[in-house]
Amino acid sequence: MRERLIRFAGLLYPASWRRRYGIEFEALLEDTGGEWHDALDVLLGALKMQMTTWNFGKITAAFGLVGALLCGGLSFIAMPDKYTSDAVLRLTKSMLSGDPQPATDNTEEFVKGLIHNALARKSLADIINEQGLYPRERARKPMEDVIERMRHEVSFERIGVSNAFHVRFRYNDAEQARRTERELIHKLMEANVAMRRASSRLCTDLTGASGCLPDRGYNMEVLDPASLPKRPSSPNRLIIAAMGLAGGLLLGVVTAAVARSRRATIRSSSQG
Amino acid sequence: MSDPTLLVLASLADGAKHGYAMMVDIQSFADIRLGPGTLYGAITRLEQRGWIRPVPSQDRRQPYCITAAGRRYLEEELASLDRVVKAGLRRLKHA
Repeated sequence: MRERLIRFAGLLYPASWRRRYGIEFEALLEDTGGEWHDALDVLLGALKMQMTTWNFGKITAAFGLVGALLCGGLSFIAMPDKYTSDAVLRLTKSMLSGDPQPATDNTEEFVKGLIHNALARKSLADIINEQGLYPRERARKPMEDVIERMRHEVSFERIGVSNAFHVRFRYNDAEQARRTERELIHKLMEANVAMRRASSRLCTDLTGASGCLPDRGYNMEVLDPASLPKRPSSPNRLIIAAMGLAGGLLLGVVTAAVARSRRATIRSSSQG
Repeated sequence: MSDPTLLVLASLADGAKHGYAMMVDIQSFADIRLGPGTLYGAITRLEQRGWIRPVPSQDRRQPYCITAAGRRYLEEELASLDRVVKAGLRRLKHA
């Protein structure tokens, strides 16, 4: 096995090198017997020798390829798939026919308040415990850190200037992402009701029951329920591999330039 | 001193040797085992620089000998190393 591996590694040397040194190198390998560390040594020797015979383009391309493979491979090991469940909600101002048209659109402000309440510590801690999210993190880290992590996985995006917005939640399990997304929507609904009640109470406290118009607030409706993601949304391994390729190419250009200047130095010193 | 090219030149300083003989010799005088890949990497570089050359042989084991240019280079390098060794030892004594 070892001898075969060493012989195989010997074949990785450039053809021109093998024509010149092949027979004597084989004789040396027979003499040494072939240890495991010799196999690695011959493999590295072949790689170095290949690089000395490669031109600028070959070195750059090889580095690019290695960079792409390395980054792509690492993304599989270090970055698990994540699935995003998406839902679309719409807020509509509750108005009667006689109500005056509001002078300004304060939906944005309202949504911010809603999100703030829905992503409050208690609300998220409840979801994490009920859904059994982040078991590993919970075993190692304080709950505050886990909640903060979950906040990063929740996103809201208003659709254009409409009153509709996306609510998204990302997790490493598709079904659990959907269940949690449903729970988040439920929390948003609760926050909406709570805000309407609080606003109504505030008005009553300040002006007395008679001075307050019935609370109109916002109605929240679910346009698209929480989706079950079929494919992972991240990581984008193609982009990661492309970044590895770009990094590798850059490193390859530098290495090729250094190799070229070293070869020139060696040539001039051996001529001198 | 772990530079394979210097070790190979030092090994050839007292006469021609083939690859395996160099490996054994280097291990005996420097206590360093050069792997086959490292050894032949050094041999290739040294031959390209004209510091060693193959000795005609019928055997598959190709012997090499040091050239005049190789000997000059080795002398310069060893003299430089010698200065470092002497300075180091002197300083250690006075420390």
